[in-house]
Amino acid sequence: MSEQFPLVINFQGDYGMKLLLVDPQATLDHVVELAKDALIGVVVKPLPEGTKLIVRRHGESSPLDSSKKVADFGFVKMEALDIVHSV
Amino acid sequence: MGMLATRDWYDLARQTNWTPKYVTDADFFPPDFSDPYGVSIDMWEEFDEPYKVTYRDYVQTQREKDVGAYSVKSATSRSEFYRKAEPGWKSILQFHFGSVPFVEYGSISAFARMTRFGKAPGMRNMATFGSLDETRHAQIQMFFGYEFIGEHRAFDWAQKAPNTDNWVVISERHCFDDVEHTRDSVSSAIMTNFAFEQGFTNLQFIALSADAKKYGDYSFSAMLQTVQSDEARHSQIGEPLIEIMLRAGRKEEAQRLVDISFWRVWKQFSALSGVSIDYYTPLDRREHSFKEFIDNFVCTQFLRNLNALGLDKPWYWDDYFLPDVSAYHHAQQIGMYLYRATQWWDAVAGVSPRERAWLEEKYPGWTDTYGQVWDVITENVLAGNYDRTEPKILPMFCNMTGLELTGVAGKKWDVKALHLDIDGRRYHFGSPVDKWIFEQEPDRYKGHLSFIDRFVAGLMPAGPDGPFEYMNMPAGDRGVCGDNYKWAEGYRGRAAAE
Repeated sequence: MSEQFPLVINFQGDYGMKLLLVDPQATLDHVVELAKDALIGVVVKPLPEGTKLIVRRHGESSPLDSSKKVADFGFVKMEALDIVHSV
Repeated sequence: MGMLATRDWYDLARQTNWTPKYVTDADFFPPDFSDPYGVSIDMWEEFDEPYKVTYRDYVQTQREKDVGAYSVKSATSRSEFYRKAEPGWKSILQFHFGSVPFVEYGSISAFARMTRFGKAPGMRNMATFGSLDETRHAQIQMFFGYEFIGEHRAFDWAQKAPNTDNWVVISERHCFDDVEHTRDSVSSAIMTNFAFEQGFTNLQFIALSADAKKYGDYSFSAMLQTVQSDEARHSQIGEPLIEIMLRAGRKEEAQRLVDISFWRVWKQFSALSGVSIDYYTPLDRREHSFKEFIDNFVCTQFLRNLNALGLDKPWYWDDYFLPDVSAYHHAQQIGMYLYRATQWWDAVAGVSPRERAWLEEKYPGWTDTYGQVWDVITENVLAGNYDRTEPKILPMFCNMTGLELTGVAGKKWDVKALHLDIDGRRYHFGSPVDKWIFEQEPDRYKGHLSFIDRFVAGLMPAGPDGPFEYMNMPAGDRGVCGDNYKWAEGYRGRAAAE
């Protein structure tokens, strides 16, 4: 558990937020893949063809650079992130 | 020898205050336990409870009630009834008997503290009977529940629940410890008797009783009604208390207590009664929707009582409470079904085609919101992918409710959390109201770890079974789908046709 970093994920379409434990050296892109794997086809319908997902700090409007590592963002433990469809 | 009529001696007999000679008033009634609001003793002695009862009358009445309730139980063949009951009804019974008895049991001591530390003699008198009432409630609900222990292991949770750290129980304990057990007698009484008991107990004990009678579960219906008859009496402790607080110029304090307690207890009853009424009760036996019961018991009756006392609608009523009535329990039901293994009762989905039509009728927009999640779950069930109906990641919990942090799903997706950072720790809240409550007394709440906090902190045993071990839930104790996925069969023909 000590190697894993806790994030709170708010995935578009889901009924509530989820806890995701991630490797702090993983990129946000990888976090998105983990979230997709856990939630699409479980609580959220398959995404429309060509849907791009972006990540934001919960409540903010600017997308984060998803190629960067989790550790690079200075997230606090249990930071909430929105994973939403890019418009 | 002629006997005095009760009305000729009752008021005098209950005037049990005296001026202490050997201890100070503060020693006798420590403010932190009794009255931190500085109301004068003269005002406390004006406490006038609407329903008065003597001990002799109490014993006689309660005995008659018990004869009535227990005889109904004896007359009906309960084991046979249970075996023939629909899965949703079984879910209701399993859920109720695990989650309610220990709260009743805890209330015995809450009333006992009012008996000892209440400055108003009438309040002490009523609270004494309140303790006896709650003793009865704990006993009757454990006794009725235990009849089924041979039918399903879930009924062991009538006794087991408070001795575990099951996440549902943690949530309940946090709420009712806050409202009933960790405040002075005045605050506890306002929060418990007025906001909790008058506000919400009708939902689980009258509304559900109506559904039970309609279902033919006369024993459960009688049990619920007899419990509520006591509630109607001892919950009136709160009203004269609030009247005195307002006369003493303490309206703001009384209002805050009601605002805090109402919301906290609302969340508990939304999950318990909302799911029971709108999803577990067999469709043909539903008297009303949960929202319709709320409109009657809470939005009409309780609000009328609140206004009559001179208090205001809680500040969050229009913007947060009313929308929540049509939303919260729907989201909680999804979580309760998906994470059913973490609960002691078997959960039913309650979303067969006919049930979905009913939900859409009663909650327009349900299909485009919560229905979108159920579409995914339904597909998995039809494909036999049962493992995908149980998520591999944990839900996030609100740090006030201790329940899942939820919102609106699907096409109108709207899930929001607010947060506070205190001493290097982030707290999340499912609504501005939950955050506001926390901010009233951060020191009261900040030390508590939700179930999810404990998981993150490594307080649970390692491995996939760690959370279950933490909750003292071996494999046989975990909830399953109550009708073995039959609820989805109504979609199979539709799926093929499409």
